[in-house]
Amino acid sequence: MADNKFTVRPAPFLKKQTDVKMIMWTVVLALLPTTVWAIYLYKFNAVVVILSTILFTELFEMLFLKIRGRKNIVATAFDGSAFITGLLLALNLPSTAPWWMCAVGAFVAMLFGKHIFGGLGHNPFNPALLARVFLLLSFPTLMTTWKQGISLDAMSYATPLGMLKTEGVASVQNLDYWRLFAGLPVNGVGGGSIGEISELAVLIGGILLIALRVIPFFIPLIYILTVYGFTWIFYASNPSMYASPVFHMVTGGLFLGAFFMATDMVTTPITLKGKVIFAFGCGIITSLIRLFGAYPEGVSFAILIMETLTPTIDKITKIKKFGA
Amino acid sequence: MAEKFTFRKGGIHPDERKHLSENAKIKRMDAPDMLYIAVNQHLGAPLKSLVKAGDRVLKNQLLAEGDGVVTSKVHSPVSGEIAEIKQMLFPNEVKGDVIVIKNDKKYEKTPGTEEKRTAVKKEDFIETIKNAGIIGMGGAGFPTQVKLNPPKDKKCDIFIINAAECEPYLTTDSRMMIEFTSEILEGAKIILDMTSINKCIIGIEENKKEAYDKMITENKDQRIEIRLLKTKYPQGAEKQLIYALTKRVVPIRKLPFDIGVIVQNVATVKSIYDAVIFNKPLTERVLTVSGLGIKEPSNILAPIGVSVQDVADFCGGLNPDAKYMINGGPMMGKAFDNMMLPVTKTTSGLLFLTDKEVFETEENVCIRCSRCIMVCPMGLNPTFLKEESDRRNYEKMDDVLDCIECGSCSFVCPSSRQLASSIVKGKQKYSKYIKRGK
Repeated sequence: MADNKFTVRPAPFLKKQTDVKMIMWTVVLALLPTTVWAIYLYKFNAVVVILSTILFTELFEMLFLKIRGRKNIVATAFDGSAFITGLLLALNLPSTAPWWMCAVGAFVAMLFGKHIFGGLGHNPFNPALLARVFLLLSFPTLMTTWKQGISLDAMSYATPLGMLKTEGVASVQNLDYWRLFAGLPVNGVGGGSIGEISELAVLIGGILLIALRVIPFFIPLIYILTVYGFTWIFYASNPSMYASPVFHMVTGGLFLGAFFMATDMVTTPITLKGKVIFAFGCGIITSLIRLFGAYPEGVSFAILIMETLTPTIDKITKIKKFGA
Repeated sequence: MAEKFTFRKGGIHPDERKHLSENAKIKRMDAPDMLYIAVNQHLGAPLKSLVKAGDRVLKNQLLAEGDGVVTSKVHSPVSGEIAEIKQMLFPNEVKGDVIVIKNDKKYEKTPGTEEKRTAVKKEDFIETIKNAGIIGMGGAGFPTQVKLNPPKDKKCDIFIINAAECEPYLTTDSRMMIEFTSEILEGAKIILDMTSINKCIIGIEENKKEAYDKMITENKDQRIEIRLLKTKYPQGAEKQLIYALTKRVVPIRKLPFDIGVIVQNVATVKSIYDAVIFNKPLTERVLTVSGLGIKEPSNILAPIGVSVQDVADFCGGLNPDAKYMINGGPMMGKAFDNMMLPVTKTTSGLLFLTDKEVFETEENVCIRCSRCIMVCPMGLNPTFLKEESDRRNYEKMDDVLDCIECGSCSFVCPSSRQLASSIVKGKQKYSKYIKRGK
């Protein structure tokens, strides 16, 4: 008896079984409604965009892991984080995006968005967002060729936010906000990126993430309410000049950004107060760009700008110690 | 239903796993042939051994004592001969002096001990506790007479009995409250009678309902209030328990008596009762022996100084898949690989865990998910402190001193990072660094 060889290790010996992989794949699951809706609307085109973006993202992830001399390359590449980046990037692209542009985006996301900083956990910017903005600046025409809803004719249309920017508030006043919210096709209106069409689909996934405690509810709430409040002020002061805050809710990438990007753990503040400031800042910058900027949409820029402030926000928002 | 109390900041809900032993009646374990009495079981200045190899000692005879204020005493649980005094591994230290006694099985008592006596006078109370060698039996091992005798300028008005027992597996306090109900309540009364405190609150987590009901039924003293706590770890941590029961906050780097509170563990209160009523020094304790690695999970009343090997044998022996041996609970306990480890006054449990119970994964990078911050009951930033501790960045790691080492951060970390262990090491390094500086 007593031949037992005991293992010595530090306490605690119990562990909650949620790990990074589970968190990552839960986010992927939460993006499923949006993905399914995109495929329903754009059929084969969406499938090509989504599959090629994910495939290239995973390939570049493995390539850079290899170059960095990592072990367990396949296991690491499928921890879910690269998959999310690929899927999020795909959902931020138009249905007409050619496969090579997806590949360029995947390359930028993995190299400049992730591995150049030391991989998972060390990147200052959300890789998918960085890639989206890179593509937007490099291929502005390809990135803003929006196809209308279901019909796959050769016509391309402006998004509601684009119409607002170029043609003014009158052009969007009579749109059916409920159809825009649900992501149903609206005549004469382009949908934008394939993941931004249905706020409803994003919301379903977002609520799932909140219910499973993967993301805190207050980040998307504060972000969206800030945009609502800020645009309402202008709408209320001059409705013939500014669009209704509801219009801002149901268009563009606000929901996708608020639920899936402003909640990215790696690139956003770690403290509770910091998260609040971050979400509020995103809301303000998004509204400013939408109302006064050169671009019709500001979500990507807003989140990236706030991400540059993350270390500063973390530094100035001290956590209150118990007893302090 | 009674109001349920709990602390506010942080906290976790690990699997309780108390079912293994919660209904097992306390079994008395007779002293084996050899006992290993650690000289320094308490927190404070080291003690000196009063005996040498070859001496014959009686049961309850004083074996070691020390000078100074924060000090304690150690007594013999049996009569017999001192075989040797040797350096041995024991839970509190890496290695320390251990008095080895050969038990002659006669149990010849030191005259006057373990006899019912007339009430101890108020002015002798503190001395009685000191002479009985009582220390905090919840795990800290702080000398009880020091805790019960706060500085004159600190006026205490609440005495709390810590019966939270928030560590999974452990059922020591729970069984004691069920089986020694009147002794514990008497002990509480003695403390109220002997000090100027008029109020005692006993906090019991709701997963120990049987103990709570028993205590409520038997308590007849108006000064003693028994309260139910919402089960949450680390409720038994002193500052968290005080907040849960009184809403008083112990300021950073201050002690409970600074806000008028004294806290004692259930087992300690029982020992105080034994010392005052029977003049019985602390030479035995109740401990939980549990985990899937032991054949008969039990609660045992064992003499201080039995080896883990003896305890395991007494509880039916180990299962072949026992992989971890832990002194204490699974959250804050310490793993050992040597069964020749002696039980001390602070050993509240011995766990033998298997692979099925311990979730072992590789450490990964921090993804800044902030779960550790959310669960930290002290409001610290564990991931930051771990990194600063690992790289010994003394300028930025002052907060490590506020860590209560509860392990909640490591428990929730999805990247399986050993946050608590790094911070505890950082705390030791930083304390040394500060001492060097002064």
